[in-house]
Amino acid sequence: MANSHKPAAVPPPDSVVVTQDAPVPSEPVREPVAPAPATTDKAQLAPPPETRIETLIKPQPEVTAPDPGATAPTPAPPPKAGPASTVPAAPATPAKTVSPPAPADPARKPPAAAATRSEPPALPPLALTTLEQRLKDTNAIGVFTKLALKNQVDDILGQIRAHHEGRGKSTLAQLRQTYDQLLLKVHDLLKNGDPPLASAIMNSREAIWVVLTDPVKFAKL
Amino acid sequence: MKTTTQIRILVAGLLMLSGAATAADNSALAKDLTATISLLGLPCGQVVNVVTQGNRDYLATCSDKNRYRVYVNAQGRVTAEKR
Repeated sequence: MANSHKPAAVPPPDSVVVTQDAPVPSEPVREPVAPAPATTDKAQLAPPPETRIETLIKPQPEVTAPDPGATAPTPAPPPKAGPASTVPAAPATPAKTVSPPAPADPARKPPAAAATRSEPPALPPLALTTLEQRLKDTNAIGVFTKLALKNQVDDILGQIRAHHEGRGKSTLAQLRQTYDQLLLKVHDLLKNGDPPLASAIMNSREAIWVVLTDPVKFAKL
Repeated sequence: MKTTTQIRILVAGLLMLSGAATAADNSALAKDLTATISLLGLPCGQVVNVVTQGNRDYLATCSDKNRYRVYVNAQGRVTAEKR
């Protein structure tokens, strides 16, 4: 009786062992997958610092490439960015495809932005001018939207000017928050109609902020 | 008779094209006003109807039943007033 039970009990442990074996092969499979995107990201991110302005001038080739790769790695940030404004206007289906690129860009900004700061100090103003022109030229948003956008940009520029002149009511942190919110709104507006421009704006966020917060550079705008 | 028929067909075709163009314009305007209202931070959803009240002056009805007068004021600012 007891012997007959023992063999019966033996198989279960075997099956457990098999279960443990299963995850082992799966891990090595994951490892190669994970490094692959990271390498791709670095490769994509590395050039931008130097080529940032070129990216703005020739957005479509470079921006189009990073978007698909960036989509998979970082899906989390976008929901934070523009849930309020994005949800009402954007349709459900296209939002999936386009929203991922948005998060990816801000998430990787730190390295790119740092590189931009150290590289060319004179380029950000050019980027600003280019972005402004591209916003004027894009067909992704209408005249009313562009005018409203210009109003809000002028507002924040006025606040920053006041801050530099020592008569501002807002702290730099508050201005940064306003600035980020405005850029996120712009990104939401453009992400469906002009994804390259939307990405270019998000990629230039730090560089533009550096210009805005530098009184000397700001005065030259 | 044949010429008259051809003219009628041509006119009908032009009317259809103009109607399609108008619909496209209205759709673009509704989209523009939707984005504008959203940019101004006002609840709306999507603009589903637009009534032109003047030059750069529109009455927009939103999918959430909100209605706004969207216009460019004397200072050149885009303004949305809830109605």
